Parts: sequence; structure tokens; C-alpha cells
Amino acid sequence: MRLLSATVRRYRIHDETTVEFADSLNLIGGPNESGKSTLAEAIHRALFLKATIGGEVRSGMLSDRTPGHPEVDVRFEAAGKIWRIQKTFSGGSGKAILSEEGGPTLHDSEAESQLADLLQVEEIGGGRGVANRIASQWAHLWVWQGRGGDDPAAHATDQRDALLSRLQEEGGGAAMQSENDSRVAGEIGDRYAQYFTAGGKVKAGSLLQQAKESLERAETSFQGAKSAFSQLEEAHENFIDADVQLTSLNSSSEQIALQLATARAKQTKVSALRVVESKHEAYWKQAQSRHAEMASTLSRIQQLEREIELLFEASKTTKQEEQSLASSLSEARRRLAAAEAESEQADHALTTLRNRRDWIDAVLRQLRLKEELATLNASRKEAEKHKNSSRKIEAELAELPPIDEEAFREIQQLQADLSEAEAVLSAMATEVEVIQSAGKVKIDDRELEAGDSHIVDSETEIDSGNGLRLKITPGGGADLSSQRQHVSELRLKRENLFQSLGVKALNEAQSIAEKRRLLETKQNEFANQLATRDLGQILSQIEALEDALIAADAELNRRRALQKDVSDVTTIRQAESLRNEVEEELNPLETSAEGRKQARSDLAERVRQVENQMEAARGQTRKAENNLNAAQGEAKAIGEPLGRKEDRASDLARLSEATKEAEASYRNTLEALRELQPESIEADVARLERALENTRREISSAEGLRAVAGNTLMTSGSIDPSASLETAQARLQVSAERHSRIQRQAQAIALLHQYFGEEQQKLSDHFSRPLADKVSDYLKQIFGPSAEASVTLQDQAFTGWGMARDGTAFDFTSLSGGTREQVAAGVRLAMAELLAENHGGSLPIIFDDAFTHSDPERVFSLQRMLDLAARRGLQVIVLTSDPAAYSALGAHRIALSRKAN
Amino acid sequence: MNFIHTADWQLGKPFASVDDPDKAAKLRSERIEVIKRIGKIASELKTDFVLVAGDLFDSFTADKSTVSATCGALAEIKVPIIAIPGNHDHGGPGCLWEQDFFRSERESLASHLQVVLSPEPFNLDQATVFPCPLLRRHQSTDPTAWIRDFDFDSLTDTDKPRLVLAHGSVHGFDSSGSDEENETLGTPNLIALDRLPLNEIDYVALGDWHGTKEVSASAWYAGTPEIDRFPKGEENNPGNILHVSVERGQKPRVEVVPTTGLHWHSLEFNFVSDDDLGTLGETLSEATGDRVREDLIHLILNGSLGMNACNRLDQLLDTWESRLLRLKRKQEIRIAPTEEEIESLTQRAADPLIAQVALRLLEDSAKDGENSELTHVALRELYAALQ
Repeated sequence: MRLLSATVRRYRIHDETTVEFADSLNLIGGPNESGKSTLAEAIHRALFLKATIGGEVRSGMLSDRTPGHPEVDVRFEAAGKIWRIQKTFSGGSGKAILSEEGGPTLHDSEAESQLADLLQVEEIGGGRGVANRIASQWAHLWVWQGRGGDDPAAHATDQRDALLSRLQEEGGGAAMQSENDSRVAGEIGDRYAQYFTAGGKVKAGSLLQQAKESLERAETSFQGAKSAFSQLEEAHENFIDADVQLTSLNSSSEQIALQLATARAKQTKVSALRVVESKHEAYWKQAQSRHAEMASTLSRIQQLEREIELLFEASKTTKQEEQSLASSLSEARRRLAAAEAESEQADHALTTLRNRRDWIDAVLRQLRLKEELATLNASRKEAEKHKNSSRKIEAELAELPPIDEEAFREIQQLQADLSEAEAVLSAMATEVEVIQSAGKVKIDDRELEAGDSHIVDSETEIDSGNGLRLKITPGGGADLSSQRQHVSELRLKRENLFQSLGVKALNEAQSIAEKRRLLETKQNEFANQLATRDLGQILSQIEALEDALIAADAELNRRRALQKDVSDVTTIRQAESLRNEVEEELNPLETSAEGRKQARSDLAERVRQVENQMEAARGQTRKAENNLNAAQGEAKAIGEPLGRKEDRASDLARLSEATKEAEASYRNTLEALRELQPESIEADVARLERALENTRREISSAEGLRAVAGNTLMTSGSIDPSASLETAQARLQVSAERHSRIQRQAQAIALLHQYFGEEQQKLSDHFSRPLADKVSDYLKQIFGPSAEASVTLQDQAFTGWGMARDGTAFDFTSLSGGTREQVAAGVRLAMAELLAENHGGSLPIIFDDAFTHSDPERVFSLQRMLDLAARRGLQVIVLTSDPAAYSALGAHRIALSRKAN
Repeated sequence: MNFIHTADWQLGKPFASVDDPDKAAKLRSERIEVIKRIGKIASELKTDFVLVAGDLFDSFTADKSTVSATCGALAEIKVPIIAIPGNHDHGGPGCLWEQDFFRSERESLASHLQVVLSPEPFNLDQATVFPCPLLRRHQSTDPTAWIRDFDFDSLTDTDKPRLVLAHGSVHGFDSSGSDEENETLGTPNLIALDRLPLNEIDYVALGDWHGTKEVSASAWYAGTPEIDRFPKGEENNPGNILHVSVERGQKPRVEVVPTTGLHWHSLEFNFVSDDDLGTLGETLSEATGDRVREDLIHLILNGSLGMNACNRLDQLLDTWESRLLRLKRKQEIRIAPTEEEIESLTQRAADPLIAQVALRLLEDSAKDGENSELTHVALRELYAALQ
């Protein structure tokens, strides 16, 4: 179908506008208000709106400038013929005339009906919303102003059947899913849904789930029955085992009890024998001790008798010894007394002589002291005489001035120094005399007249007055005045010295010094004599001798009182002679006195010795007597209970016999005990008791086990666990088989469902592919070779429109406004191209300002797309207010001008 | 002197693998019924007594109702019954033989039943029985060992036949191998027949092996009188009692008398083509005859079938399942869709989706991997959805 021309009259802005269309590309340009969209609407209404339309739709068409009914007259080519449709929209009386070139003309409803057939659309009646419904006719070809970016999905769905039919043809007659297909797929889907959830899981409450649960229940009850039966069997085995064990244990227990009884009997016998044994042992020991006791007593008595005999002898001997010692003692005492008497006489003579000697000594001492005292008194007189002479010289010396030799030499020296100083002074003073002078001679400041002289005694300048000046220094430089000073000092010193010594002149001093030297020499001589016998010393010696003499007198008086014969002794010589006499008489007496003293001491020692021996002998005698008494006492004491002495031997023999008998009894009992092995009986009893206890415990334990098993075995009998197990097993098997059958069926349904789904998708792809390819062809014109369109056919609807560029896919709705316009245009063109086959290979496609969001560059490349559509047989009609933008389209251009009001 | 040798009555066996409670009850009650039949035979043959060689009950804790039913049924046997405990109903503490309830029920309903619990000669008027009761499920020693040391000279009645009554395995016939609840390692309760003083013994009445079996001329397994499991192998011959005539020092005469009321079958069937379905139906009919609810079949199915045929097989087996007491299926059939079935699934220009899915499933199934069964089920589901 192609539009050939269109004339619009009294249609809103158009008074009358005629447009001729080219077959392929048409560009209708004109500014706003030039009636482009109105023209497009008018043509569309001519094709699809019934002429009898009224109401708002019709009134909207009326021209406000030219009265009369709107008219549209369109020529077009369809079904290989040229047609003309003329419609006058005059409300209920509206007219439609369809004329076929070179053919019949149809009117009104016939025309409308035929027209719908030619355009392959359903007729649309009037009524509410008719404008919208009309607008949907060929909406995929008619891009109304402002709708360029609409989602093409709706158009594709509207045209679905036609598209599918075309796509089937395009796909080489690809089979289309039949109703039968849908039914079976649907049934399978329904059955799948009965088994599985959308997520592919087994659905709760489904037959499969029920079978599974029933299998699980069967498994549980089988396990329960199995366990119950096993318990029963186990209990049975346990019972038998326990029973067998019990039989064995009971038999063991009996045997052990028997052994224990035997052991205990032995034990009792041993106890009895032990009593007997200890009794016999006691008897034996008793007899033994009695025998031993008697034997020992007898032996003791014999010993005592021997001892008594010996002691008696010993006592006799000591008594004799005692007597002999007594006589020795009296002898010794007698001899001692005689010696003592003799010694007393000799001592008396000796004492008398000693006293005489001591008296003579006292006399002698007295005489000697007297003699010494007389000598000392003579020395004292001499010393006192010297001392008086010395005192006289001392008084003479004290009267003379104290000029000794040294002081005299000092005076001499001073006199010499003064004489020398006076000589120097007089030699020093120089006399200057002016003998003749031409001028005035000046010495220092004194003017000298000729003849004047001046003593110069110090450094003096002399001006001769005629230019001669002399300096005189007397004494070679020494000062004359200081020399004078020196002389006067020495004189003063000499005066002072004379004055202090009390002399007036040097010679006086010289005579005094001579006199003093003579006196001092004399003094020294006396001093030397006095030094040998100091007077004090002599006085103290005299005093000491006088004291000694007093003591000697006292001594003499004492001694004299002891003397019978006091001869008159007056000299030392008499005394010494008398002493020698006494001494000669005394010496032999002294010697014999020593000998006597020694002899007496020896005798006393001898007496002491004999006394000690005597004492010892007496002690021994007493001891021997005591021992004897004791032995006799003991012998009597221990002998008495034994009775008569003559029976004792037979008594002892009887005791010995009794002991032997008791021992034999004891040994017999011991042997009987040994036979019984008492040491192991205790252990045997303990061991057997332990064994019995253990066995009893084991019996009790086995009985417990048997009772437990027995309880388990005591069933009520209302059910048979074995049959229950078999039943449970059979049910488990049935459940398992049923589950496996249902599962297999469910799996088969799932497999079918899967295959149906996959095959449906394949079919769908088969259909959508050529459409996508065609769209891609158009999009590549704008977006380049990498552009790929996508669309899928799902549940009989085209969905998933989008475009991929450089491998990145974009959903249609996510595209920008401009791109959406372009992609939508591509989809429309592809659909139009496909559908054109049903319309004689061509269809008009109208773009009314459809690319308002596209930038100029895109609009430029868009023209390639439109050109491709034209080349593929479509009649492209572009309405634009900017025709310059489409200058490269190479289209048939139609210019509309703005309508003047 | 003649008697009936029987064993392994397994009373109270629950048959729990039978889902339908009525059918399970029927299986249980049939085990009671066979006692009555034995009683009838014993009367007809004028036997002196009945020997039960163990496993009178299925468990040593049989419930009261089983005990009562058993004692009630035993009244139908008019001669003395001598039984020993076997491995299932072994003696020992807590076992049913010692429960008061059993004692009182035996007392009031079946006083002619003697359960011998101790291994010592048991004197009957006509014979001396050497019982070998099991007092635990698994006995590691030979239960007949005591007879080896027995002093036969001590027996007073020298001309009475001597009968050993024992329960257990003998070499070559160990029941555990065929037991469903096979759980033993090694062989417990093993009887060394050759160690018995056979010249002192006239007959060994054995129990435990459920098929009737002649171990030697004088040692027999009676087998169970009412079959309780699917047969395995041809040698197995259950469902009988033995009628034994014996005198001291003579070879016994043994007669096998069938007693079973229900019929147990093991059938194996291989499908080569879908037409074999008809043959299977015929085979089943042949096996059961006109009987309804008297047969149990263990059906092992092999081979391959188309999907339609599979559905038909399911229908067929459903029918048989209700008709039989039990249909135990071991189905190892490979689903092999027929050409037409494949075509009907894949040649669908109008339904490209179904065709494509079917094609994929067929491809998967051709891979024959782990999931081949799953893909077969899926194919069948798809196929069914299209019908």
C-alpha cells in the first residue's frame, strides 16, 4: 500500500491542501502552524475513521475559517490497484466514497468495509473514546507527533499475529506452536506444578512429597519394629547366657562353700589344740622350773656350807694377826716416848747457850755504837770552824764595787775606742786659707777676704771668684759631723760605765779588780775543804746512831734478864772473846739436836703405820664374821622348806621325772598342730570366704541380668514382634516402591516440562530472530556495525526489546530520549518492512516530528536508516518543521506554508 | 505303626507384602485350614500320631489370636501330636511355649499336643521319640548331638521304633539359602546326620527345609504342608506331608501326601513383540485355571514392548492382580515404541513443539544411559497426553 496523494478541505487549518506523495521518500516541511500534523491526521482519518462520525471528534475537525463540512480525499495504491477514498465528515450524513481506478465505486458503509479490507484492519464504530481507538489503527506506522520515543513493544504486540505469520514465512516456513502443542505443554506444566514449586523443589502436599513422607514413616516404623524385635532376641540370648552362667556359678559356689566348711572345721580343731598346747607347755615349764629350783637350792646350800667353812678359817687367821699387831704397837709407842724424853733435856741446854750468845751479841753491838758516835762528834766541831772563816771573806767582797775581770776589760776597750775616735776627728778638719785673691772668694755663701781661713769639716764648694770653683770633701768623703757625734757618744758611754761601777777613773777600777781577785781565791780554798765533810750529813748520822744505841740498850736489857751469870763486860775486846767461847760450846750441841729430831719423827711414823694395820685387820675380822653369819642364815633359810635333808635327793629325782613327762605331752600336742598346717588354714579360710563372696556377687549380678531379660521377654502376647517386624519391612518395601514409582513419574514430568520449555524457547527464538535481524539492519545505519537489536517471543508476546552496542546490552527503557526515538523508529521500520509483504510489498510510514530529541548528527545518520527503509520498499513520509535537517535524505519535498489567519 | 511327619507350619506368618488385607488374611487363614486337612488325612490313614518337626509357629512370640486359632484347629487332629520348637518358634525363656496363655489354650483346646522342650527320649505307646528342640534361634552346636552319646541299651522297650525329631540344616539342604529373610552367615542348627548312630534309629523326621525332601531312606524333610513362598528351582517340592510306616530295625515306608490349599507360581515371560501380550494372558490362565483368589504368582517380565502394549500390559496385570491372591511383579521390560508410535509422536507438522520434544526423548532413550528408564516413562506420559 502506498499513498499517492491527499487533498484536505475545510479541515481545521486547511482550507484546501493537496499533497502528492512519492513512492519512497517524502519530506513534508513547513513551519509550526502550517498544518503538518493536521494533514497527517486528516489522511489517517480518511483511511480509518467512519465518515458518519459526529460529536467532539467531528467538531474538532471543523475549520474555523471556512464554513462547510470537512473533506478528505486520498488516493492510494493497494492490492495492486489504485484507489480513491473521499470522505465528507458531515456528521450522521457523512459520506464515504471508495472508487477503484477503472473499477466500481462503493459508497458509505460498503466503501468503509471495503476500505477496512484493503487496509487489513477491523472496522471501528463510533462511540465514546473513538478518537483514541482510531489513533491505534496503524499506530505502528503512524508516528504521531510527540510519540516518537514510545516503547515499540505495544505496537509489536498489537501486530503480533500478522508479525508471527510473516516471521513464519520469513523463517522458511518455521512451524508455529500449535494449539495442541500449547495444550500438551500446558498439561505437562500443570502436572509439573502439582509435583514441584516454581523453584524446582518438591511441593509440600504433593503426591511425591506424600510418598516420601510415607516412606520415611515406614522406615521409622521398620526401625522401631526391628529394634523391638532385636531387643527381644537380645533379651532371650541374655537370659540364656545369664542362666548358663548362673548354673555354673551356683555349682562353683557350692564347691567353695564345701571347702570353706572343711577349712573352718580344721580351724576349730587348731584352736582347741592351741589351748591344749599352751596348757601342756605351762605344765612342762612349771615342772621344769620346780626341778630347776630345787636343784639350784641344793647346790646353793652346798656352796654355802663350803663358804662357811672358809669364812670360819679366815676369821681365825685375822684375829691372830690382830693380836700380833697390838704388841707391835705398844713397843713402838714405848720407844717413841723414850726418845721424846731424851730430846727434851738436850734442847734445854741448847736454849740456855743460845740466850748467852744473843746477850753477848747485844753487848757487842752497844759498845760498837758508842765508839762510832764519839768519832762523829769530833768531825762536827771541825766543820763548824771552817764555816765561820768563809763568812768573813764574803762580807769583804760585798763591800767592793762589782768590778770583775770582764768589766775591767770593757772599760779598757771603751777607753781605747775613744782615743782612736778623737784622733780621727782632729785629723779630719781641713783649713782653707785665702792667701791671695783677685776676686772675692766665697766658701759656700760666706765671703772670705784674703787671709781669711775656714775649717772645712764637711763637703764644701769654694768659688774663687775668678771662675775657679772647687769642691772640697774632708776625710775622704766621711762626714766630719758624724765623726764628732761618734766621739761624743763614746765619751758618754764611758761616763755611764764609770758611774754604774762606782769608780771615778780607770786606775781606781784597776786596783779594785785586783783586790777582788785575791779575796775570791781565798774563798775558793775554804769552799774546797768544806765540800768533803758536809756538816748536815754528819749531824744526821749522829742522830741515826743515837737512835740505834737506844734500841741496842733495850735489847741488852731484855737479854740480860734471861742470863743467870752476868759478868761485867765493858770493852769490845772482852765481848768478842766471850762470844767466841760461847760459840765453841754451842756448835756441837746444835749438831746433835738435828739428829734427835729425825729419830723422833721416824718413831712417830712407825706408830701410825702399825695403828693403820691394826685397824685394817680389825675390819677384815668383822667382815669375815658378818659373811659367816649371812651364809649360815641363808643356808638355814633356804634349807628349811626342803624338809628333811635325807629325803632331798629322792625328791629331786621325782621332780626330774615329772618334767620329762610334761615335755613329752607338750611335744605331742605340737606335732598334732603341725600336722594341721595352721599357718595356711587362716589364709585358706580368708581365700575361700573371698571367693564365695565374689561368686555370690556374680550370681546376684547374673540374676539381675536374667530378671531384666525375663521382664523384657514377658510380652502381653497381643502382638507378635516378629510378625510386626515382617509387616513393617513389607510396608517399607511397598512404600519404597511406591515412592520410587511416583518419583520416577515426577522426574519424567519434570523432564518433559523442561524439554517443552526449552523447545518453546527455541521456537520463539526462531520467530524473533528475523525480526531482531531486521531491526539490527536499521540500527546499524545509525549506531554502526556493532549495533544488535534484541527481542524475544515469550508466551506469544514480543518482549525484551533492547539494543546491544559493542557487546553491552541496553534495555529499551534505559536508553536516552533521543536514542529511544531512533531505536523505536528502527523497530517500526522493521515491523513495517515485514508487514509490507501483506500489503503488496509496501506500506507508508509516517514520522511526524518524530525525532525532536535527536541531535543533528543523529538526524543526519538517521537519514541512512530512512533511506534503507525506502530501498526496502517502504514509503517513508517525514513531517518536519526543520526540512533543512533532512536535506541529505534525497526525498520528494513538499513544502507547507503557514496558514494566514 | 504309622504316623504323619510334618513341619514348618509357620502359623501366624503375616504375609505383610500382600497389600490387600483381605488377601493377606486369606493367606494366613489357609495355614490354619491345612491343619484341618492334616487332621482329616490322619484320620483317614489311621495314623498313630503326628510329628511336627519344628516351626509350628512363625515366631517365638506368636500373638494370642494365632495361638487360639492354632489350638482350635489342632482339635481337628484326633491323634497325639508331638512337636518340637524350631528356629522360628524356638523355646527358651519368654517364648510362647512358656507363656501362660499358650499353656491354658493348649490345656483347654489341644491337650493332645505335646511340645517337647528337653532333649531326652519321649515315650509314646508305639514309639520312642528322640526330640531335638531348639531353645534359641541359632544354635551353634548340633541339636542332635545328645543322641550320639545316648545309651540305647538303657531303653526298656527294645522293639519300639525309634524316631529322631529335629529341626535344622543338613549338608546340602540348608534352608537359609532359600529364606527370604536370609540373614545368617555360616550355618547354624547344623545337623550331622552321619554322626548319628543310624543303626539304633529307624527314622529321622526333619524340619526347616520347606520343600519335601528325601535326605536318605530313613531321613526326610517333610516340608511345609501349606506353601508359603514362591518356588525357587525345580527340586523344591513344598505343600506336602509325609505318611511314614516304620518298625524297629526296618526300613521305613514314606508316602508323600499333598496338602497345600493355595498355589504359588513363579513365571518368567519374555516379550519379543507386542503380540506376546496375548500369550502372557494365556500363560496366566493356564497356570491358574478357573481358580480365583487361590493363586499367587511371581511374574518376571523381560523383553521390550511398545508404549501402547505397555499400557495394555498394565491393564492386563491390573486385572490379574485383582484376580490373584498376589501378583508379584519383577518387570524389566524395555519400552520400545513401535514405528507407528514413533511416527505419531514425531511426524507432527502441525504440532512442532510436541514433535521436537518427542524427538529429543527418543534420542535420549537411544543413548541407553542411566536415565533411559526415565525417558521411557516420559515418552509414555507424552504419548498418553496425546491420546
